[in-house]
Amino acid sequence: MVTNNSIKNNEQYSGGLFQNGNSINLESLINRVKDEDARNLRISRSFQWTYIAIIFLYVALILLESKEEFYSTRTISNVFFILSFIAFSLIFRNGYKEFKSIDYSLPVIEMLRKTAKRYSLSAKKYLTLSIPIILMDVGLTISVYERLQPIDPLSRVLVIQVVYIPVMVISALIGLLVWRKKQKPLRDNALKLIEELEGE
Amino acid sequence: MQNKEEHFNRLVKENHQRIQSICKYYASVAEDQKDIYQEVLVNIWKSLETFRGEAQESTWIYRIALNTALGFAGKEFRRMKFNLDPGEKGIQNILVEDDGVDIKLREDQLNALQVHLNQLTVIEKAIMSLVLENLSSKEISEIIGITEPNVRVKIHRIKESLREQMKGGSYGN
Repeated sequence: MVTNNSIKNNEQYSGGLFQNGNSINLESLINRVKDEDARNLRISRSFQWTYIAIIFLYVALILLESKEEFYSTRTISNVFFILSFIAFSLIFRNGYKEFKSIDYSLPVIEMLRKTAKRYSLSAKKYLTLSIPIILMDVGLTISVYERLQPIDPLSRVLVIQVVYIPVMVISALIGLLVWRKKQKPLRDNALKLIEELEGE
Repeated sequence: MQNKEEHFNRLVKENHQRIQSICKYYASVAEDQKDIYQEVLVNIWKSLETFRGEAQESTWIYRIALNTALGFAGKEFRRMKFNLDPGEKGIQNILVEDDGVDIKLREDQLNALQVHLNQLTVIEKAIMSLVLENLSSKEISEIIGITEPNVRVKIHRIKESLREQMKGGSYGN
């Protein structure tokens, strides 16, 4: 808990900086930060629990179906969906941890390097994200494959890809546009400042 | 062992002037200064657990203040304005010749200096804000994260450039 005495003491210092009743109230400031932390934690946990709930749902479905036929195509596709959700969940968790671990006490140049890295579109990020997308594609293909019976096997797979790939490409393009508008300027600024700092 | 809140309160109390100075350099309007100040306090609070005493507390505070101010400036990169206080004790650090000759400034020259300071790049402004704080090259190198000789070269070049630009005005002895 924030002690009233310590707040009053600090208000004297901050009050000196911002005159005319414009002083900072440390108690409300700290409470605001705590609220923000708590809200972020709640959002993160609710996302994780949503993924866990979906995973449990699929596991339950597999177990129910396994009574009839364990190696049915539906069971196999559900396994791929579960793996995809687990991968998405881990990516989300890592992203949140990276965001939470921003350390402002690093030397300026290190801070800038981390900023540039965080907001860059690296091959590693693409590869990581492609894992759950491919898993989901496999799951979807197995799931829908038998429903397209009149068509020959190769065409069945291609039909599914013709629908799935454009959806993923459109999603990636939307992500790219958002990145270009919001994150690329931050990365570019950081790179520019690093270049200036490193130059003799 | 002191708890997080006690540690935070002590740091704010002992480093209030340092944080205040950085805020003043980067914002001319009181409301903006207050915003940066609050953001610095928030980042001190968030970074407290990472403080292991490897760097001096003042260095640690300056890093947070500067990183925050640069981040703040990043949001309105073009509008960032370096704000020089006429009563600034460190002003002479900018215009002291390498041979130690001190330069006295008149009010109009101070204004001209501020104009020239605002023509510097973001990084140059950041370095000069630390020079104005009377920090040594070693301390500045620890805050910025580049080598001490590199800091000295940059400071020398900035001072040269400022002196060159100020030559038009008769600020010499």
